[in-house]
Amino acid sequence: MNLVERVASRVNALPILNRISPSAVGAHSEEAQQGYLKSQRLALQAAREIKAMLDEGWTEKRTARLMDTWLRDNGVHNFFHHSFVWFGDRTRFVGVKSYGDYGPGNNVLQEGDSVILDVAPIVDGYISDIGFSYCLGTNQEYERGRKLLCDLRDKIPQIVNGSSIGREACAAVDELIRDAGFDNIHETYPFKVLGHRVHQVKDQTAQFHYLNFGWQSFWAFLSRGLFGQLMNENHEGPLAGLWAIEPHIGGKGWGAKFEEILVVDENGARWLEQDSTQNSVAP
Amino acid sequence: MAQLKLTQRCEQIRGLDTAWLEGGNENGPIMLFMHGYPDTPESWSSQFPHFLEHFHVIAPYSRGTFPSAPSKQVRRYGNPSTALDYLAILDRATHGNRNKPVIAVGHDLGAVHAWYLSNLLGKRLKGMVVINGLSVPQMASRLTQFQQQKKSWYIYAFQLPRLPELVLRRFPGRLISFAHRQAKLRPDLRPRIAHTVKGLVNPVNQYRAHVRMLPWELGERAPVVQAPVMVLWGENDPFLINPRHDEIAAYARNFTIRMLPGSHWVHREKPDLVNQLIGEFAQQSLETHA
Repeated sequence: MNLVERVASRVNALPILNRISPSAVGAHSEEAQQGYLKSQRLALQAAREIKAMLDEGWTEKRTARLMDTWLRDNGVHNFFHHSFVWFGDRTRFVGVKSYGDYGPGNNVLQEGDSVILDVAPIVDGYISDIGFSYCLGTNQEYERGRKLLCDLRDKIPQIVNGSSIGREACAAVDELIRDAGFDNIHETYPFKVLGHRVHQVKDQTAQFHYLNFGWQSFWAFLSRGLFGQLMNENHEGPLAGLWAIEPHIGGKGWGAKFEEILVVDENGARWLEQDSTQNSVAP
Repeated sequence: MAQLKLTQRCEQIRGLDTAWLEGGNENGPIMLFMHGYPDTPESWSSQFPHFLEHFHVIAPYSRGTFPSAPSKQVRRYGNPSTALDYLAILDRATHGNRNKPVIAVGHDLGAVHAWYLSNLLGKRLKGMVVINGLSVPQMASRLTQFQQQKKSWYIYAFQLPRLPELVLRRFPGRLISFAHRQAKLRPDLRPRIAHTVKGLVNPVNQYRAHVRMLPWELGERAPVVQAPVMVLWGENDPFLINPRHDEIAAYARNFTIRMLPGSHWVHREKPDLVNQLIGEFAQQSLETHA
């Protein structure tokens, strides 16, 4: 399967696919980057607002629904994916056996639980995808994990700058997580992705979703050959473009992640969000 | 220092003007009054004076009830948006102090909001009083009961597009009087402000939103409310059949049901009795769960 995926990760370069959907590989205009940034900031604002209200007794489903509602009330019509919310040991995917299990469940938030909020709205046609972590109460190991996430955010642009293909970047991030004594949880994601490309789409009114993902996410990936859109251990294609990077770590009974857009162009790799008070690891 | 008069506040919450009445003892626990349809917070006018001295009283105008702005989107009248509105109101009224204990009181559709909100207030919620009203899942469980369906005919009528608005604009006073007559509510006890067209037409969307969002609401499986719950029920309600023990037990761990002589607006018909019961319940809940 690895060999197949490696070959497939170059499929997006086929001219026929470019005629179906414009390639997401390459530089994005300043205007487009501002569009993605606006989308990402709104998503992170939603996560922070919900985090501020979160209390014992909230369920994953209700939290996810309130986060989607907050975004819809602020003008979002469509989602690349709706809100994923995980509490407690589900933040490291304990009990997740199939794709259907990733969706928000009836788990109730309790004191000391870790929390992950992950949502991908489409704002004016620009997809963003964010992940935000939090712990209700105090947990020293979790705090150490949060520090690692901050380190990873600092180091990932340098790692990507030093990598010619996604496979190398994934291996370097994996090494940092294991060296710090934590588990690599994004390894258990579908296709073991560390990240995926983000796209500009038409802000359609038609809404259909499957397994929490909007139909435009399936179209955006499949019409571009899927594998070239995913940064994982088999990625061999060019790195230029915009990536939603989502390192996810785990400790005993908890998980934590961040997710935000990384820009890779002729000037190298950098986070789209340059304001340190607004990024996905800021409290 | 208790402010024995309520003031009306109106602020933008997620892009829409959202209003509430506020007053009383700012250092006291919060008593959150949630009104139903076709009412406004004025329907609690017999309760406010009783609680202003010891409680920080907050009474929101539900979405679309003037001066809370209407929305073109029906889902904005549903439980998730309303809960976000009410949580934001609590935050603004308390300057972000999330340690203040809350006693939630809801009547009719306000009870729907209270049940939904009860799972979101965490340990802040010390007690909830529900007056002639049910949560959406409780109401849905009555779909098979013919007696309830007969009493709920207006909920179905409100699902029709445009027609309810046309009728309500044309005959606002008559329709409200009809509802009050059905409940045998004496004219001097009828809330005044409900007669305004603005307070009457837009909130019809609340019924539409609850029906449209029913599948999601039933799929959520709300956790059991941990704080004590007191159900006060006017036993001659023309719109709701009397509650069963098991209906409440499925959603509340610790509850009492008090059947009262009266109708749908029992808090207006028997204000002294209702105030006394709420007061005793609040005091006991606050002491037990301090």
